[in-house]
Amino acid sequence: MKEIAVDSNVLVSALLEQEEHHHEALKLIEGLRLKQYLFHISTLVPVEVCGAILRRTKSRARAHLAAREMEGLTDEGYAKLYPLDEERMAKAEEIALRDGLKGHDAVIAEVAEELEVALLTFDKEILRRFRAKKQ
Amino acid sequence: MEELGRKAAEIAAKGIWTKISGALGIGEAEVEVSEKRIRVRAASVGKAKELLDYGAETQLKLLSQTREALTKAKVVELEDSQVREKNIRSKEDCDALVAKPDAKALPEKERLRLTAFALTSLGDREFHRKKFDITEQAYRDAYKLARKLDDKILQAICLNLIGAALGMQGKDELALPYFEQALRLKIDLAETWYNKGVALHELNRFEEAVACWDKATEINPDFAKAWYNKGSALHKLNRFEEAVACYDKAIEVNPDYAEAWYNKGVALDELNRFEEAVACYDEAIEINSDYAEAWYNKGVALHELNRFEEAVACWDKAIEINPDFAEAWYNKGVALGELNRLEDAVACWDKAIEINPDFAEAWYSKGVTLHELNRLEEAVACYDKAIEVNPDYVEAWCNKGGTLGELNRLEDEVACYDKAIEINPNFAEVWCNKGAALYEFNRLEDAVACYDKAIEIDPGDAKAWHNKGFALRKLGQVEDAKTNLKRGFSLRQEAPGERIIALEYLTQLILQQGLESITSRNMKEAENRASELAQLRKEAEKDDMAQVVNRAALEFKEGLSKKELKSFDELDVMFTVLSIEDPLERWKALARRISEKWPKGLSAIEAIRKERQ
Repeated sequence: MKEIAVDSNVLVSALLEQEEHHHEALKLIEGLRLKQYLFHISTLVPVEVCGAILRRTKSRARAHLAAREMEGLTDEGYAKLYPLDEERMAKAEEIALRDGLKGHDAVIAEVAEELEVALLTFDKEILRRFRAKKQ
Repeated sequence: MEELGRKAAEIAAKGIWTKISGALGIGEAEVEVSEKRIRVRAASVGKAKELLDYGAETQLKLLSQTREALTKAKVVELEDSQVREKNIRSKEDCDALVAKPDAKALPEKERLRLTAFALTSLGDREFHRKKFDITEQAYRDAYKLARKLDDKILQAICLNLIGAALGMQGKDELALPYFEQALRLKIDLAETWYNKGVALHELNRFEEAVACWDKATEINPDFAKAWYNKGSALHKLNRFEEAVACYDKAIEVNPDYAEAWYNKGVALDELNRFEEAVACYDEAIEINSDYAEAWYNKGVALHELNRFEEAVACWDKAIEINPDFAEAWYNKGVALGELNRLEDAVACWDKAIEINPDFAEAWYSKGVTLHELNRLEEAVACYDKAIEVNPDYVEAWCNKGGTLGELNRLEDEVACYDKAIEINPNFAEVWCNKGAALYEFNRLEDAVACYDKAIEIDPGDAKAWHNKGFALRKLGQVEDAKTNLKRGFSLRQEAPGERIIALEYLTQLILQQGLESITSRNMKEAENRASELAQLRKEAEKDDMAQVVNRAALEFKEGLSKKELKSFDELDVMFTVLSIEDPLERWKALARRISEKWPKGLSAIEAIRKERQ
């Protein structure tokens, strides 16, 4: 089983049929249930995903359902959530200063660095800057 | 001659005859054996053998011995004498018989015996003329002579005959000691065991009667009537399988035993083996084509098999044989009702009522059908008639109430239900109907109490659950309303039309709640309602009723304002996605619904970047 820290854009991609990386992202979701992967996710991720869907679709139902599905992944043990506590905030600050990442990006990257797992993101800017183990 | 009496009695005891009324010849004897009688005439033994039925071999042996005794005793030729039943008309005839020179020549004992036989013949004659008091006296006189003769067997025969005569007068309790005394004198008298069984049966002591007929058939396995009666008693004891076996035995002995075929059919009806029952009635009818009851019961069995046209034809036949067969008219009406020939059905019940004006069921059925024909006032009059005949006719009170309700006589309707409840407080349907009437009065809490009572009596009463649901909804208790409606629907008991109404109502209740949740932005609650609706549709699918949920949702949607429509669409997304059980398929479905609303050209990366700005 491959353990990966996952960025919000990956989950949004899995929820957008027209997205360039949609099939790739969907395969990951499928892989979770086959125990091929384990996702490590900052608590920021579901909030971002829901917010993005709500604001872009203007549909509370869709956003709620997306949150529900993500909750389902963690409830069933396919994904683990990492709350942004003081220690992680300090670590994220370090990464932001070190790699020149934006605050939110650094919070996502922090989980990968903390767990020494690859970070999965479709955002090339983050990939370019983040110096830890990369996907 | 003493030997003759003993042997003759033995023969009688074997069930071949119960009395000696035939001629007794000197010399070679011709023996004619029928079920109850042996006649002896001058003839060769070989000829006698030819005349004997199968199973009478033992009796033939006895008769051969008897013949020798007869020869020795030089009994007078009585072939043409007055001992024959048809000629003994009075006690005086008996006296005249023994006064004849031939008889006079006999020793005293033999003359007494001859008188005894003559008296039993007189008894038999009067028995057939249904003059049972004379019969009883003749047998009693014969018994006195038997005692004088100290002939135990003849005493036993006479006691049996006295008991039978008492039985025919309805004095079964009095008859029993006679049979018992007869059996004390001679234990293996099949006829006496049989008669004792009849008396016990008349006294509703069925188990004991069965035991007697067991004895009778043990002594004489070819005793068809004993098998038949045993079957009847077992039938009364609801031991139908055993009853069928007894009727089979009776039929085996006598294949033309129409009543046995008939009763076998009745027992098979009880066992719900209607096809076999029809075959039995056919046999009975083949033996006796005028067997009205067999035609009637064949009709009933065919009706049970939903072969209504054929049933009607049978009842027509029963009516042809017996035009006053009120039950046949009644049942013909019921079948015609099933065939939706309502006017014809009413005509049949009219005929049944004409024959028997106190035929409460016919009045009631007529009422039900007139109700169906929307002739409500006439229907009420029929129910009144049924109630007049039978004031405790709870169904008539109940239906009268329903009809009065349709005539907007709501107070009277409730009064009828109250009367029905007074007669039978455990009639769930009436409680339910009363609840419905109170609902019309807007006495919702009282209505709920009635439905509760109906459910308490019959938790499987789907209508009560449904109606309680409707009343609770009106009382604003939506969750309880839904629980009750769901319970009623899951029972799968009500007519499809009623279930559809309940399902539509339930669907719209859930949708209403879901819409309110969306409007108040309570998305968790909206999700719960959408899941609930998905579950309901799944339940409905089991009964091919999913389209009812869809249709109810569409109807619900049609009544919404523009603003509400937006919320409805949101709920619809939830319902559509949550209806899918497979997680990956559900994810894909959600993706489809998100994608359709997502701004064109905006990538996931950009969207998240914007979120992070």
